[in-house]
Amino acid sequence: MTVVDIARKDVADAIRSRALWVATAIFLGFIVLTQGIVLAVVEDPDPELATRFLEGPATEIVLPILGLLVGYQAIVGERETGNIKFLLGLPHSRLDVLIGKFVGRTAVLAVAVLGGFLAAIGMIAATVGLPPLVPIAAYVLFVLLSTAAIVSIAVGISAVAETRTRAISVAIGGYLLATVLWSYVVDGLYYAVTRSLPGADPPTWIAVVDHLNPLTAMSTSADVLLPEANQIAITATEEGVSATQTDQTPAGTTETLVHEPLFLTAVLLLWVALPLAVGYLRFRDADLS
Amino acid sequence: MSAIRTNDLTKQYGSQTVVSRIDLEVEAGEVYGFLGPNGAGKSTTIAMLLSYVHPTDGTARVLGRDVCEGSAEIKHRIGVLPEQYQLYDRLSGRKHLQFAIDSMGADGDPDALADRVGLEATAVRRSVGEYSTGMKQRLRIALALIGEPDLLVLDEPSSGLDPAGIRLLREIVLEERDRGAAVFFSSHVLEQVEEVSDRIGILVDGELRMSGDLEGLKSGTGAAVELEVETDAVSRELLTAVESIDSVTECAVTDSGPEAPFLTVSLSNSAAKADVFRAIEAYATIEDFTAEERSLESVFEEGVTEASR
Repeated sequence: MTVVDIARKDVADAIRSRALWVATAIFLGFIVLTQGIVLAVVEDPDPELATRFLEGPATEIVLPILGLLVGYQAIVGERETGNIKFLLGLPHSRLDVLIGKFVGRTAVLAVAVLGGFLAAIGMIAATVGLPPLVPIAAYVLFVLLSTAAIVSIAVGISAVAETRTRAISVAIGGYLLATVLWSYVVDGLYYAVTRSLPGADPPTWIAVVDHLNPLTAMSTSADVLLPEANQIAITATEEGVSATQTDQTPAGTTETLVHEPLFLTAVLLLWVALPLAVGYLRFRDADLS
Repeated sequence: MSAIRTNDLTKQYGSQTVVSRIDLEVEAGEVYGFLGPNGAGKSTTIAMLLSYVHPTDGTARVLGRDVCEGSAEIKHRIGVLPEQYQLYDRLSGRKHLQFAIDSMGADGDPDALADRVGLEATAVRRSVGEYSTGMKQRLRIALALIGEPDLLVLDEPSSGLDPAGIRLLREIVLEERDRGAAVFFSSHVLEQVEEVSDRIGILVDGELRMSGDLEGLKSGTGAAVELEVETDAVSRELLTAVESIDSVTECAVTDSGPEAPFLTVSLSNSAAKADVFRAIEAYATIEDFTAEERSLESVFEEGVTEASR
């Protein structure tokens, strides 16, 4: 019960501090904005195309930032204020506090994600017709699992860091590594092994390395689960620019291990479990003075 | 089973020893006053008892459980007020109490608890961010009382309280003791400890300088003693023998020129005087001696002076 007590209190705190509403507003804003642009710019878009754009800046850029912001203070913040002594003075173990915070903050962000997706789906249904709901549901489950992984990383950082400043530094570093630097890391590793750069169809082992990044795993889940949409042709004439859908579908990539939903699930579950485990071991042995 | 029992409890941060080999015991139904100047190591000792800080050496058992197990279960039976911890500014006093009651699995009425520490019904519904220092401290005391704990561990509970609050705190401590709970509380103010404690311990520089029954300490039996012993010779063996006596806290030699060397020996318990004399006689002849009984006040004052240097 004690994990539930901590998680419930965490959610209540997020409601009181308006963190829940802010996170929801930001995620919803980005996903709706992306949809709005697609629906407005492309001539006669079909629901499949709109669905494909459920993956976009909201999931790839905004969600990781929100996850880190929601989680990086979870433990270290309470340590710096001394609130942690209140929680641990009650019958809550350090593990209870860590897991409770993780569950609470994942729940907060899950509300934001679900709210955003529902709004976007509503928008598609209202303008171009009902999108394919089953693939979307499967994809949303992957996004929720990725959300849990990102929050786990942030809460793990907050359990290891001694100060808030250090926690945010590590979180920013991790974000840059996973978003901007990751392709260089993967290419660099490939070059170190083969003395050449990966081509359009890289071998499975380097794809697996690439997918150890939870954000890559989340992004590939969209490629695997969401329906393939026709390519968009952008034509520029004297009257202006227009975007239309062509009849061509993009050349599908070769099916490999990294396109197995089971593999992607395993990677994301690993990222849920590992940061919490490392964070717990460090937090368990820490002196809270 | 003792409520608290420590054995050589020690905490070092790097090369700095904050708490040094503390032995103390607190029984059910007694109030133990843990006295010492600021920075003496009181809060670190309490943090070890509550498993916030891990001891580097020695053991501590709280309600029979080793603190190193870090058991959360045991907290069902302990009411705690750790050193100046922050409350949640956005939560009301009542929400704090309700959360703690739920966490403890206790049946308690937040309003009754608030009333017991003198928080008014309107105040307890306001968010803690609007509270004065004294009100926050009253709330912390109320939080420690939830679920009729077998042991109360209160770190500087009187800090931030006005005189009325301090009187109320004293009443509450005595009520809790009469109910059968053990109360362990720290303070840097001697009078506050004297008023309510059955036993006290004085901590200076991480060492327990004096410990025992308050009446005994006050009347001098079992009080600390400083001996000055003149002997014909001082050898290393003699010093080792004296230092190995349990109650000896300090032993120094003054050997200045033509006069006979003399030993200055500090004892935490005057009953051990005879042991010291026997140890010295085994290696040398005692020419003369003086014994100065030290009062509670003098030990405490000395500690404060020493700490502020």
